Amino acid sequence: MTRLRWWIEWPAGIVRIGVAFLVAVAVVAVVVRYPDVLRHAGRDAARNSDLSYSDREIAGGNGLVGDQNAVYAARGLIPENERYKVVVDPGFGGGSAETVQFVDSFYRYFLIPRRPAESAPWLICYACDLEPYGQRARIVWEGADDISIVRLTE
Amino acid sequence: MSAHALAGLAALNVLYLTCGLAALWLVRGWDTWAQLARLAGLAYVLGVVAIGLLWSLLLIVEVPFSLGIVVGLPLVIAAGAAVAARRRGRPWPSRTPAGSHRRLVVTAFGISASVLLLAGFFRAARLSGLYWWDAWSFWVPKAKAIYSFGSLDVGFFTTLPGSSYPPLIPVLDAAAFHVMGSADVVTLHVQYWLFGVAFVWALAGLLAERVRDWILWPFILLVLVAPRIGERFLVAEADLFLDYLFALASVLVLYWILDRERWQLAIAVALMSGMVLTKREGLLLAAVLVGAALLASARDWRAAWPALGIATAAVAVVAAPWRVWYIAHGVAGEAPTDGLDPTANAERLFPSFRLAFDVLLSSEYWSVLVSVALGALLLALLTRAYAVVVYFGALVLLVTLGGGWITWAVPELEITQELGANPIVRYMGAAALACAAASPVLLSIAWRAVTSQEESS
Amino acid sequence: MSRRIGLAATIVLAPLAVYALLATAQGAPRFPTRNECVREAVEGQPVDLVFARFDDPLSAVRAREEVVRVGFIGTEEFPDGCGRWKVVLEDVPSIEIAREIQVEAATVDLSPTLELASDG
Repeated sequence: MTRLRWWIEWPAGIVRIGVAFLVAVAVVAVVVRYPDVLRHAGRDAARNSDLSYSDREIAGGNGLVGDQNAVYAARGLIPENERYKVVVDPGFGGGSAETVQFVDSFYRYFLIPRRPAESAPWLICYACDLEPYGQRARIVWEGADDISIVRLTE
Repeated sequence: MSAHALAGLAALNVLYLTCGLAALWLVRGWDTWAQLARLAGLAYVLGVVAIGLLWSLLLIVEVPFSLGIVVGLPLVIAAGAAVAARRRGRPWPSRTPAGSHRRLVVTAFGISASVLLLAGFFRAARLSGLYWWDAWSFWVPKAKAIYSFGSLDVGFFTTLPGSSYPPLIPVLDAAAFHVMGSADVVTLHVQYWLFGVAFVWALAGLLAERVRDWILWPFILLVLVAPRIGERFLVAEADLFLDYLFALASVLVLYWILDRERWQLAIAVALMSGMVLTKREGLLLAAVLVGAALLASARDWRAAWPALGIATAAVAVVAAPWRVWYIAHGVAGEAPTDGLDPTANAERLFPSFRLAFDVLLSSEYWSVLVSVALGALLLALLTRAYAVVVYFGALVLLVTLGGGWITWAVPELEITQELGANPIVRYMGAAALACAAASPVLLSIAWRAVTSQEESS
Repeated sequence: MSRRIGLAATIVLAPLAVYALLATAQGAPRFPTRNECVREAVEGQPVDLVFARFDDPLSAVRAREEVVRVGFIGTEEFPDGCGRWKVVLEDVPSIEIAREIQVEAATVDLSPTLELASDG
């Protein structure tokens, strides 16, 4: 009874019960979530381990770039000290819904130290119109989905 | 992804820890080995921030960023701090006296449960691809530019999104690339996992000296299982890192208000300096921290406010060079243009602040962290711990009002919790982690008040 | 070491050891490199003869043309799945035949390696 009185005496008892209650709420929240969080982490680990090398390396760009080989071709063909430009036809149908607007951002990340530039000797062409470049445009590599790497000569 | 990359990263992080340990030894000394172990997490965070700050400032004044700087600077700082500590007469830590291991078992369960979760997060981080939009859109490209060119390359830093964002995180990433031997964006996630481990260690270590273990460990574990915290340890962005610094600095500032030990404020200043060089919001959060400290120390303002003024000035001095750099290179500033005009965008005013409070109180993001903190504030208030209640209450309120202000003042932001349209959820992580730090302190103060009464009666 | 410290250490380390055992039971930790796309030839399975790997497709095309010119008709180049292009004579029926082709290749200063045939 003395022990019970200690918990319910006024006003200290309210605070004692309150502290115990809030700590218990935290404990319950932890107990409820803990197994799921641990299991989820294990599933993420397994999924990441099962990824192919290129899926892991390209990761956030996988839907965006359309053809993974285009990214690797750009990296292999464009020298590190030369500039490039990503040209995307607004009607490009491959990749994802964000490709037209954002694929250049991915190449900017992936191809560093190569620099993007408005006037550049290399084009990464997503179904783009090469006519304005005339004879200067030489397609160096062509991949799926009408994606090509183009070298502009002088 | 290789073992070699992991080994290089491990070596870099040992350097961070060594620097931090030496710096803490200099500013506060070590009483026992157990105390050193307890505060090693804080030491690591201090080492990361101090070295990262120096690297950032060196980059701003165009010192080339090379492997030599990455390895050499921490070694010089660690050695210098250690020599200075010995000259100051700091003794080596002594053995922990017998009889202080009584609470070990509860702590052991807390550590065990935490370590298991952290091991799970490590396994996920080790082979993670770079999926997060902001990470590949600008954070990691900035790091790759620093790594490739050894400088704050004007071409990239002025054209990438977030061009006014300070360089601390990209600098830390670039340092990791150097020691890994390549821009290994996969293994980079392990670095972020280490930041998370250190935060948990630092928070537990700081709070353990004042909070009973049965109150402390549920909240440490709650941080790890909260939906938008633990599982995001590996994300290669700056948001959580900023929140770690904010939460740790808030504890140190509180301790300084209560104890007035200089080292507490000194390290808080270092962490706040890190905040203002991590993200634009770091300036706002540092101001919030200082504001809460001013309010909580109002009774003793003659002694406290000058020190807080000096601390604020020190943080401002650290913040200035980056601002000078990006203004000099033609990058637009950080403050919203209509930020202080209450008549501008008036129709957004109430919805913006309501959005911030909705996010704060959402269990979907933070589990019960915030709701329990509100209860803890009330209990501490009942035991008349006014300074601490005012401090944490003001802290969380001001962070939330800051979030509302950001949404209101930037008309381009939609009034939504959707992550791509409004950063409010990212920003409010600071409030959630502040609640994680506040609850155990408040509950422990309240408990002590009503159990020590019994002992004295 | 006192009994309490021993108990505390056991409480921390035992679950971690069990977790580590369970995790490694699913397979040893991997350290992926680009060489994970280089799969060793298996007895009884078709074999690819890989003449070279390149970081860019143009070099692979040139190498393939040279290999075909010296007589290895049917050699092609295509991505290897790890960001490189390989120059390969696919689907040789057995390791023994592949080794005979290796000897032949050595006479024209080529040194193809044997790999498990790719799926397609």
